[in-house]
Amino acid sequence: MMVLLILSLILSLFSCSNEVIPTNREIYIVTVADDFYNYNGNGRKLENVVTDQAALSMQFQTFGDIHIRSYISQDGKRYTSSSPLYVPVDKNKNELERNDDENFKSFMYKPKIGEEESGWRIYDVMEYLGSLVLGEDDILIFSYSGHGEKPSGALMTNASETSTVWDSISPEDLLERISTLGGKKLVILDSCYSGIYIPSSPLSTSDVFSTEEKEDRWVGISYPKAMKDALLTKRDKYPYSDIWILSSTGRGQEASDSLDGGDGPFQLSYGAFTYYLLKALGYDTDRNEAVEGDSSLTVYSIYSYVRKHFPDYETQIQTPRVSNGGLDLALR
Amino acid sequence: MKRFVLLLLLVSFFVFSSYSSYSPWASFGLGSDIIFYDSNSWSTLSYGIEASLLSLTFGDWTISSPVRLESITASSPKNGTLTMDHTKIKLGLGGEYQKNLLFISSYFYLGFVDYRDLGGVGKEYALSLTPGLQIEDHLALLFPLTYTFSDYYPSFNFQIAMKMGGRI
Repeated sequence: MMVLLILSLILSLFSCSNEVIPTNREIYIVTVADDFYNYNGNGRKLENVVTDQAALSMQFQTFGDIHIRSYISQDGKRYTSSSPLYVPVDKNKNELERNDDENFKSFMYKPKIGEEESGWRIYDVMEYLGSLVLGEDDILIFSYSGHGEKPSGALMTNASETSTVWDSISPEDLLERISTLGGKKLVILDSCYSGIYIPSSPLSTSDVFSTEEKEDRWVGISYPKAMKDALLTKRDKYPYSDIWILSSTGRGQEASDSLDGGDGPFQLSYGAFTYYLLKALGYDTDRNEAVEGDSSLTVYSIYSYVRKHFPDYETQIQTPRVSNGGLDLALR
Repeated sequence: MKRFVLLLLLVSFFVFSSYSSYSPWASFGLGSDIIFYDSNSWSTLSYGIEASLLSLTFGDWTISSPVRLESITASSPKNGTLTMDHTKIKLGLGGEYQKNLLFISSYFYLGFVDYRDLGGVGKEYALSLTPGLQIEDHLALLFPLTYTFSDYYPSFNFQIAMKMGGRI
């Protein structure tokens, strides 16, 4: 009888409520898509980055009332919008009536009548981020699709006509700016070398790379290696208690602008990582539609989904990573 | 040198065995983990099983090296963050004292924590102090109190456990 009483006391220590998400939480979304348009055809233009951020914007809007600011660089034109409109187009940039039209090639940003280019630069994005005032329970999601510099991973935007000069923001500067904000921050990077943004942590990864420090070619998974590493290697504490980072690559890897994994009719329209990220968020990639979900969604559940579904042959050269700060972040 | 050490260990084991009795045991516990993180604390459910095949009793004292498997459910401080479900495997070393109804034990553990969603492993150390009641010869009701020094979330654990086994 005494045992049952004590067991009841223990179980009553747990809240009956399953509410993880604070009720008055505000969500701020900042998306950046820079296709690195060039005039001289030197092969650096990215085909899917605007589609990636368009789909992410649409899917993030299913989380509820959000504040969104989008920075788009598309075919040499640079727009800033707080209510971006994206339309489905075919390969000749003709607008389609339906997102799931079999001729769908991409989403394009459609400027409002009379809207002029803002000519934004990455420094404007940093300034906007700095202007945000987040409460303790609020969330900022910063999402970037574009080039990353070799080997630093710096975000590359606003290419010159010859694409030999561009604006860039280093990992240190980006994280320092974001760390000054209140609330909780999720940084999503679909760019080359973006694993560099992930700070060290006490976790010993079970992923094995051919060059461990550089994280270049993924070889496989080894838990015995991770246990040995956990025991013998002194690891640093994770430096940010309120920043979560999802990157499309390891520290020494390049990101693919598209991947034909045979997973769906429109997979070639999205970046390799962002395609599976969208699926993890609940986006319908077979119809190019955002879907409002009601199941719980956290950063680590998203990462777990992406890793599970990312094709092994692509994981070898592009291994998505996640920061390991200890606590997961609930998005829904 | 290796052979000498091995021989020494075997001789020690046989010497100890002749003055002791073999006393393997197992236990199952259910309880609460109070997690400490970033000047915040909250509770979660934990349960585990523990077994010791390396266990020798000398009179009222027992020395054991148990292996413990624990599972901690995800929990939240209700601010939009949450801990992950994680499982632990821990190797312990310590001892027990049991006389009549009184039971008390203390163990030190080295543990590995599997954060499967992240595909990685963390390390932790723990110290436990367990008062209990010896109900029958081979059955005890225990109240383990354990403090864990973790790379991620230090925690204080309180459980109720049933221990089976002991002196053979």
